[in-house]
Amino acid sequence: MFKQKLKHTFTISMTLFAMQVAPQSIASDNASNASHHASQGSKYSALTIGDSAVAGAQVSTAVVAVPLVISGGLTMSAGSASVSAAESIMDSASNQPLPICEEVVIAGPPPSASL
Amino acid sequence: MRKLLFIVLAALSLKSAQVHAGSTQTGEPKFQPKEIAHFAKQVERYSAAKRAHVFIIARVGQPQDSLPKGVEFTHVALAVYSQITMANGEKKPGYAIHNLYQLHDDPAKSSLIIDYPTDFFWAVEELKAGIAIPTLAVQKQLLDAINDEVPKKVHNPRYSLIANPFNNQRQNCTEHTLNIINAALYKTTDMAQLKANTQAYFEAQSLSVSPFKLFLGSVFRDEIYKKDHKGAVNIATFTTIKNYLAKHNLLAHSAIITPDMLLNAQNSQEM
Repeated sequence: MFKQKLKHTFTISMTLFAMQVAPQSIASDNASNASHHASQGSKYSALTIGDSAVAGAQVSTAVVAVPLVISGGLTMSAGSASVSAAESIMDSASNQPLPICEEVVIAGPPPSASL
Repeated sequence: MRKLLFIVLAALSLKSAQVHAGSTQTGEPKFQPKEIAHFAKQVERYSAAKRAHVFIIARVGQPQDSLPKGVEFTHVALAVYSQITMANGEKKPGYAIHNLYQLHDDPAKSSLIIDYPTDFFWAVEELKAGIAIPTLAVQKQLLDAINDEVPKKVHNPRYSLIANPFNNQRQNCTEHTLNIINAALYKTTDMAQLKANTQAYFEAQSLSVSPFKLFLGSVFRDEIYKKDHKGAVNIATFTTIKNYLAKHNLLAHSAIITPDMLLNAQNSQEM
């Protein structure tokens, strides 16, 4: 009886100990899931409403991003034969900064959210 | 015995909940949303001023003093200069971030997700970004690789926080980024070839966490897998990738961006 109790106590102690020393220190912050995407709505609210809102910039939800590839000295939208006005200054030999939009861009909800 | 089992299970589920709360991107932001958005835009502008079309970007999601020696950032991805179509149909230029994210509800799995700088820095511990901009020639190859869907081809969804970059048993965000870089450089997605080249030229970071802690972590947390390592645990980090590029003359510029750094850079320009 005493032996069994001792065994139980030892198991609980080891479990609690293990919980404390498991390597939290290398914990990742990479998690992403449905709740991450669901939280995009609250992120939008936080950026647009109240004291925490960004001033002087529009908050926009992105639908898709197409890489702008560097091609023959010009940067063009992938798969596109046309070069927009914004892209026409993107000669790889240029020293000008690449244009960046003023909008605060955030990802939209996942496709499953539209069902 | 039943009581004992209940206590152990309850304790473990509590621990599991704590781990998830501490490891999700969905946590409450630690900074004002406008501060995060402003910092994210500053990182974009800094990179755009360097004319970076694609670069390695890193963030800090844990308190610095809780990270193992030699690990300065907790998440690494590729930032890609893109034409972004907004929900209202407008097309605007900016950076999209190509991530490998650990799944919250299945921590031993990952998926590839594109988000944007404000999303990327939303739940950071510090407003601090690591950026490593490859040479233009490497950027061109990276863009070709991205357009050829190489990130998908070199993705292994079996996740480990401490994945060994020298084999493909498990993968984390940093190893995936390294895979894309090497796939772009060598123009192959043959994993055996990529890993042979990684073994030959890449210097990983030795992880200074006690073997006992790692053992317990591998027992109690699905996302900590140690069996892909033989002996010491070596991982890829932002710094080791940056050093790899620099050593082989493939790095154009690197920086650690903080609000102070940006302020100092601004002041020195004004002087």
